[in-house]
Amino acid sequence: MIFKIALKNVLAAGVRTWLNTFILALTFTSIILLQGIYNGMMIQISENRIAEETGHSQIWHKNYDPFDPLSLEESHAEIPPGIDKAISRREAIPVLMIFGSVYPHGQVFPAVLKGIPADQKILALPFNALMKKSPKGTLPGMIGKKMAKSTGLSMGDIITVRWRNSKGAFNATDVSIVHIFNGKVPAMDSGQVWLKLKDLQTMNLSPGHATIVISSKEAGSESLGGQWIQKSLNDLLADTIALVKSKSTGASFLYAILIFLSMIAIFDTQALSIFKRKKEIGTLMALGMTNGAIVRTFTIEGVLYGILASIITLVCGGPLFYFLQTNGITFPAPTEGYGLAMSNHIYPHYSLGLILGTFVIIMIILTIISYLPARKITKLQPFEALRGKIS
Amino acid sequence: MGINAVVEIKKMNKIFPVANDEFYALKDINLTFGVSEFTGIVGPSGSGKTTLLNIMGSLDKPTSGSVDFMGNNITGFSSKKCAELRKNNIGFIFQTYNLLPVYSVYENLELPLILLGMTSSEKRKAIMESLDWVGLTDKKDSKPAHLSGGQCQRVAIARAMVKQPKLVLADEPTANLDSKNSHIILKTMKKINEESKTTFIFSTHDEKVIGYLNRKITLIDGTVQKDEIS
Repeated sequence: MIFKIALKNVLAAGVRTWLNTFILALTFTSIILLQGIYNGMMIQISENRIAEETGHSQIWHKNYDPFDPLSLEESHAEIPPGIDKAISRREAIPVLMIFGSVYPHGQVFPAVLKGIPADQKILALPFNALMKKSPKGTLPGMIGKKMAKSTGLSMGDIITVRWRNSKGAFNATDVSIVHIFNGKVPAMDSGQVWLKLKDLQTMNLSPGHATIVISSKEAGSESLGGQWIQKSLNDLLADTIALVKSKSTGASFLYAILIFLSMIAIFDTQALSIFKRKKEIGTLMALGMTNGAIVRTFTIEGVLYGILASIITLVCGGPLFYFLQTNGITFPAPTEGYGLAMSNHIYPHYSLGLILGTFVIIMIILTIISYLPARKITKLQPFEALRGKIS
Repeated sequence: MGINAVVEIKKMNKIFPVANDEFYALKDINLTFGVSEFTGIVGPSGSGKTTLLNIMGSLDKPTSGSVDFMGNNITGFSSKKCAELRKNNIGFIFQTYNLLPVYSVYENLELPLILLGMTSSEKRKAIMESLDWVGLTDKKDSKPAHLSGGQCQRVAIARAMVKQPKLVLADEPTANLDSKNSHIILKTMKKINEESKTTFIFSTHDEKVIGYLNRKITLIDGTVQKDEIS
């Protein structure tokens, strides 16, 4: 009976119903839209790092410290024999790193020189460009867009590269920039010059050496000897996981703020609507409806608005979410400078959990804020409610 | 209490606190209303007419004394029991009609019957009979906003009568109506009263009403000044 009356009220209310429903649907859509973009960003950062930087596991020379370029001199050794087969199957790629400096346009920049097999198939960066021919007397090299921007280099430029080899002697050579790649991971771009592995091994007088080995497989349990350390994907993404965790706290806060704002919006329409209907509530009391039934009727009305809004959100917002998740959103170029491993084209991620979770939370809020004002009014004596004045 | 008494009020007082003082809205009221009475409670504004109707209709509680409805003392009733009493036995007619604006005439009349748990066919029969009483069967699908004041009040009468209550309480039913519509409303109520034997009690200070009354109770400053039967 109560459901029937509540449904009748909702369907008969016309503009009031559509106004409430529209505001609710807008709230649902905004929260899901923003949260999906945020989730998408976080997923993309991890995916981009796996695709362009970490692979699925790595082996590090025991002295390698990615945050200390000066330690690179002592952070390479011969690739352990157990890894050879994986390298030949192209399931692993050795990378040698040495610290040096580059001299573009008469300036000096510290840089990490990285050697990688040009025919590698694990990382999604175009290292095959290193197979291009370079002018005589130069080695082919490639840099990232950020490095190009900071050094003012462009394709075809020739720069002098200086380094200290494994024997302790300083040496220099010219490198021709054969390609500038547009990567998404700053750690593969800023302050780095990429060369062919063989070229760098020769320059460093350390044939067969590597600093790290990137693998396309999960970390195994191979015996690597004392020189090398196995790094799992979790180890490699530890900073990203920490970032995601800290951002999740921020995201939860943002989510809470959005929910709070929506709650105010809903409370505004719902509570105002209920208080404005004080006289109607008084009339229902006079007709013999119990206080409990009135509270339940108005609470069900609120929930019905939520259900209607959910349907509208799914019908109207669903295709929008699908479109954005499939085609992504292009953000202005400045996002490139945020230092996060993401491109300016973000693919939002709208999980079922996010959509259902948002619906459930808003439904709970809606139930509470429909229940509270109705209960307040039914605390009045019927004759007071019949006066219909807002107190 | 007489066998035919619908409402019996004994030594009833209603006091409202005003600042640090007390205001007697009703003082020592002793009244009995029988079956099929058509009674008017007349008196100037602030004399306590509406308060008396509210207490008889269990919309408000007396401060002291007792109010019996069909032999049951309702002063101690819980809000749930009061709601039950109103649902089953009392119809209300308000000065401002109090029709639910989003409902059609039919739906406004259907609401008390939904509360009574009637079947669709029972509801339809009762609604059409009630609309027939007030002469508004052709307006059953109209919304209150599309009706005149007189028509709205006739719908309110139909809503009060649709569940065939023992008692109809009407608070200033003609106050918002012009003379012609007032007479239509009064004639309608009188006709229903005679046909259904339902007790009608209404508050009024409208002189037009007086001629229709079987009984006139004059209330001044919360006390019964006169109780005349014509």
